[in-house]
Amino acid sequence: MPGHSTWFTFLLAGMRDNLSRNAQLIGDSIINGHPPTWMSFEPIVAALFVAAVVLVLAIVARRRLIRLDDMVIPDDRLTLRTFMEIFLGYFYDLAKSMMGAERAKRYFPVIGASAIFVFFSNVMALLPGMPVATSNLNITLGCALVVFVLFNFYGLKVNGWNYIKHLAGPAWYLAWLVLPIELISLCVRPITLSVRLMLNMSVDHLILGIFVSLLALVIPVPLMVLGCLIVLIQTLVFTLLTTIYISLATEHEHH
Amino acid sequence: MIKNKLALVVAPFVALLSSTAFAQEAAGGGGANKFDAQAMAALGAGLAIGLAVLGGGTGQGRAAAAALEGISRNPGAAGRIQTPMILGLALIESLVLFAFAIAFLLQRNIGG
Repeated sequence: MPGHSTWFTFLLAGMRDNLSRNAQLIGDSIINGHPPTWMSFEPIVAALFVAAVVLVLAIVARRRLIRLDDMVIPDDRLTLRTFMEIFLGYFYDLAKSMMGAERAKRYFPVIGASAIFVFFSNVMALLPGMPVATSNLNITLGCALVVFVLFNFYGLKVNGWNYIKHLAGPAWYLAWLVLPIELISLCVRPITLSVRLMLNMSVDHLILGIFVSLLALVIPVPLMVLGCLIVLIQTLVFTLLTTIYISLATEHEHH
Repeated sequence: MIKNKLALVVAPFVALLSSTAFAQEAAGGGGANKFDAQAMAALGAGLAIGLAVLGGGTGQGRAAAAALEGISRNPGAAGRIQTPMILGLALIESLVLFAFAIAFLLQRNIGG
């Protein structure tokens, strides 16, 4: 997917020599075979910027939440605290309906973190000239691998050996058939998570670029609406799939 | 009598079409080069995205139709039906986007 210069390129250009030397030291990339250039560090800088923004917003919202004497009463208008309540509360209700209240509370950090990071990263795609962190396979593969390692870790921690025995299917004489299929479908999960998010974001950016190059005045408006929808839907899909994987891995067998 | 007239009208078309088949055999013996590969890549890219959108559109239409029928039967459950519908639509769309990625990678090799 083609990349272009953004506002962050000016930030990177100040460190251009060091970045070029480091990019050459990394070597060739797996997919293309081309070595990275000094502009290839841009999605990483964008992801760090999103992480910093989310951290600052979270600290501000939490400070406002603690300082209130009666935090039960919400504010009148849409402040930062009520926005976080609506956004994270929706995913928390989703997790509670799937996993039960106690498990949802224990596993919510990774669910909420993926929701907020993916949402703020995607929203930057709607601002003109800002880089989109999640339209790069490196960033989304990082998110998906974190989710993969975590849900396997939770499954092994809660169920132990039963987690792997459950993958072998209902009967012992079918295990030679079922276990490879289940293992393959388990290992394909981070790949589809990351590639789906990357493709949706970069195709949306690409189509918006094409239509803006046609006529930059009125025609992009329905595409910006589509872009807003895609941002929200992809956040929902990523977080929902994370929740489903965690709830499948940690559910108890003895019913 | 009518059957003979039909054969009389169709026969020139058959003769013209068969001559094009002879022409293809003569021109195809030039040896494969990279322009042939680029032509095949272009054809493959177009077919990939077309067939993918065909399947994806059909699948998404059926998913949305089932969701709309569910909402019409039970309007109170509209919120609970909407979330799985959006999830299903996004998962079907991701398959279409996989095919778009392949078409894009094929299309990058054209125009050497």
